[in-house]
Amino acid sequence: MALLSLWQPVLNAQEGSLPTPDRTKEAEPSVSRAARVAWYTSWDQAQEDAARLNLPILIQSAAPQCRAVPGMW
Amino acid sequence: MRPATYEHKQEAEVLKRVFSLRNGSLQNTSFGLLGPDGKQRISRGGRSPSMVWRDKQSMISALERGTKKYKPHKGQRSLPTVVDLRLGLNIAASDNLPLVVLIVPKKKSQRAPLEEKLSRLAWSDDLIGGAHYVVLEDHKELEDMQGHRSSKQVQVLKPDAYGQSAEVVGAFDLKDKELEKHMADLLLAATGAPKDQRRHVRNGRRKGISWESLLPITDRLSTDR
Repeated sequence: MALLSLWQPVLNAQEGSLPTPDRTKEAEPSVSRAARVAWYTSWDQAQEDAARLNLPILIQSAAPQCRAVPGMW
Repeated sequence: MRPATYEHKQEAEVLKRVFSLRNGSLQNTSFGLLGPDGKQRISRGGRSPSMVWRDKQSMISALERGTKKYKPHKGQRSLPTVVDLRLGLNIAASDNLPLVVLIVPKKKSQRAPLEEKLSRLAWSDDLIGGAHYVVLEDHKELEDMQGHRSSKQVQVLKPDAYGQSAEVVGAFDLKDKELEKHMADLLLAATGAPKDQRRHVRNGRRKGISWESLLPITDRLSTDR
């Protein structure tokens, strides 16, 4: 179920925006792990790894522009 | 995986297979679950998980049922790269994440070991999901960026809010010591602040910032510009 564990933050997104790094915690050496999903962005790469590692593929596509303005899904 | 809709011809055909309306047009968002062969459907398709399952628990149960027969094989995942710098900057800006650029010659014998080394960092527990990645053959596209260091193999970029440009917040070679710690620090420094969608779009329009996708946008819900 290795792939499944990467999907939990996607489920959180259904309730609102994804958790974001908490910059007030100066002592924290890294971004909150709850915010992280590692996405393949290339179908060729994803399919190759999925076949080689025997992992199912979850696809969620989106356009990286909102009303033609980039920088926002 | 999360392909950028309307940015790749071949991927568009895959996405239409995953989900499209009766007229066959590619929608802004498509969601589905496929088997490792990339063809077998494990779930229905939709615009998002909420179109396929009624709630979070239903999704979890369906995923567990549908995927349990696939026992993962051992192996290293590839470095998850975006096809080019332009799209990489946009995607990274959209996620408020850094863009890590590996500069390495095209020759496979030179590229493969470096990509594998960076891939191990990218998929490590502390760094997973903390950046997007692009591989370039040379430094040309980065030369005008503030902070660019032409002697280093890996440049960590902080895109601006619209992904139009970026600042290089740090750079390193893959043979450097304490790589993971160094990279973690750079990724933190290059992570952007969350953005308010309405303000972002409004300000972007005022500044005349516009994104031209590779393919025409065919989702009627997205064509109101």
